[in-house]
Amino acid sequence: MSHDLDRQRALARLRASAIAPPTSRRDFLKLFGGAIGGLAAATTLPRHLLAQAESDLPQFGEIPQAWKGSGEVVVVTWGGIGTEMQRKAWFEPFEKLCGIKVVEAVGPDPAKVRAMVDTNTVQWDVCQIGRGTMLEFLKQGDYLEEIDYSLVEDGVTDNYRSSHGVDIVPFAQMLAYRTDAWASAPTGWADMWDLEKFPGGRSMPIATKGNIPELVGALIADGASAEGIYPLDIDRAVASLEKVKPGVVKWWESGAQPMQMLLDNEAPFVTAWNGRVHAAKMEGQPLEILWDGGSLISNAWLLPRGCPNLSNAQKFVAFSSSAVAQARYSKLLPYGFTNVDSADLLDEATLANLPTAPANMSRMVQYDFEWWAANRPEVIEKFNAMMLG
Amino acid sequence: MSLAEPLAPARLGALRARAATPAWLALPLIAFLGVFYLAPVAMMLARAAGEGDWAPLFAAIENQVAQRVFLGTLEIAFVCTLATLVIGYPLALFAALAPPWLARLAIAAVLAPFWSSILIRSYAWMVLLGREGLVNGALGGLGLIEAPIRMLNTTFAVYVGMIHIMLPFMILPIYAALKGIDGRLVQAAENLGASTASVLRHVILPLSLPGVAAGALVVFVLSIGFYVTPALLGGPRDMMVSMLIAQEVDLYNWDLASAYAGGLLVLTLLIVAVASRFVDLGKAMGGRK
Repeated sequence: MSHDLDRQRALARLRASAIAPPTSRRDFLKLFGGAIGGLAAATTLPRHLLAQAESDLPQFGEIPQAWKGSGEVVVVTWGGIGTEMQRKAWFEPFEKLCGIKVVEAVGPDPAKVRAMVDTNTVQWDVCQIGRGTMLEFLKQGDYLEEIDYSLVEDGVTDNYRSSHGVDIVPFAQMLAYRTDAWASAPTGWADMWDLEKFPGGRSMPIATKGNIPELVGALIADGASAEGIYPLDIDRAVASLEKVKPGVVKWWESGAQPMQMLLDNEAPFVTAWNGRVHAAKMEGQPLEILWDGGSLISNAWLLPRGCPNLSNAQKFVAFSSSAVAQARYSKLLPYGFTNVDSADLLDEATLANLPTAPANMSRMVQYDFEWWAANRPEVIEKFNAMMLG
Repeated sequence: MSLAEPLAPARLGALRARAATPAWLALPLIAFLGVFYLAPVAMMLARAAGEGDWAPLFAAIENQVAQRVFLGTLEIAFVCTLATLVIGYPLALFAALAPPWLARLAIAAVLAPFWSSILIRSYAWMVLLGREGLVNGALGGLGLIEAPIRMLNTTFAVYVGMIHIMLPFMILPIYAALKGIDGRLVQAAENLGASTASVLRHVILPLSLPGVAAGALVVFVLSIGFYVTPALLGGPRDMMVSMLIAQEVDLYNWDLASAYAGGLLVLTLLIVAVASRFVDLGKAMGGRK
């Protein structure tokens, strides 16, 4: 997942003043290299409501010797506000306390990981991808390094651990809308499908580019119960999407797009990621989210087979999944943590706003990695036929 | 100086006489292209063969979505070519007939956007065509529309963006062809009593056709490979072949992606081959015969 609200905001600002075209967005970083992302991320705008002073963040105590080292580690994340906050939460303290320099890169495209491993030219150490991709990699061959759990804290419980990946950053992919679009507020997926009662553009994820198309939402809109929704009925979901298709302005390819369409009023009703919507809301944008029937998804750190700094990569994975590190990130952006001990380090208000807060989580659907790893090709084929039909 | 200048072509002529085709001059280029272009393309195309059974290629041909995308891509490329011709030809003619300072200004105006990146120009169109963009703002301000028109994320926006980017490729060869027309032919036609329309139709238009053909070919071939502009400005159904290829790469279906890429390459070569039967490409591209 990616966050580049600052670029969206810059975009909106430029649009308002109509003086010059905006800078590039994340979805084309893959094409034009990470350098642009680095540049764009460096030009940050004031963000008083979100920004936290270092003193507000949970502080690290004694660092285990096993996490310390020298040299560097290449960490590949999704750029924008997400990377900016990861830098604050993880990269900077890791450099300071563990003595290993973090080299940042943007856009951990799984296809690129595969190409790097195939051609024995791996340049990345730690990649922010996901457990579904991990399962696909494991099916395809020897593409990933195993995680060294002897370094990882016990707080990272078994449900967040897998042989070749550690879950991080649980987030919600859920409905978001403009509060100024209609007199009455929409309440869920059925309203997303109701183009008469809630007129205006819609935007939901495309099936490719590592995105998760809204099969869950489509089924709920069609009357299915969120309870026991997996295994998903692909044909029924696609038939349901067919009904909302006339209202869909764009099937988005990156998390920046639905935000841009919300802020520009191209589509007042979209599927988006909770952290981004929250950040825009904090900026005073008239936005609201609906947790009901959203999908709770996690990213995972994956280590490409033959990565150049494997031992540092293991140390970074252990450090960034520690209770303090995870709590710091949740404090900076409302994304969940995967270390159960992080809860003790956060205040009630922060906890209540996370997708993993019991009140929010109970309204959402847990993303089923295994189902998606097994069914993704079929989903993509049927989704594309619907989209282009 | 006055001696050297007429001598130079003579020397070149002698060189040409000695070695009718000095092929070795092209060796560095051939070596470069061989290593960095032909070999990778061949390796990529070999993937489409699968395990000798050409399974990926057949899968690509039979895929209905792919068929639709290929047809859609051809349609977009065709419309772009036609539109750039209709818009570009009068402008090229204007520049060719205008006094030098005005012609220079016109060509500079054509070239100016050419020097900024496609990505930036596509974003600029997003700013202009959005619901709250300048175009909707102006139309609304003039009272011509009541509610904003949806322009962004439609095929219309793809055309606007692509035609804008492709115009110089159409205008420049036509302008070059028009400038190359011997003014005495026009004078002769006028002396024989031809009207302006008649001169345009019987002298200027036929003699500018090689430029038109070259421009059309370049615009068409570049258009079928477009990626960024349709992805940014297009609607849900505006998928180009290049996007299809990127999608299959994402899905690790690299054999299938190779088959699509091969299809696009063969299509392009076919178009160039057909075009070369009708146009002297070397001459149209500014070479000498």
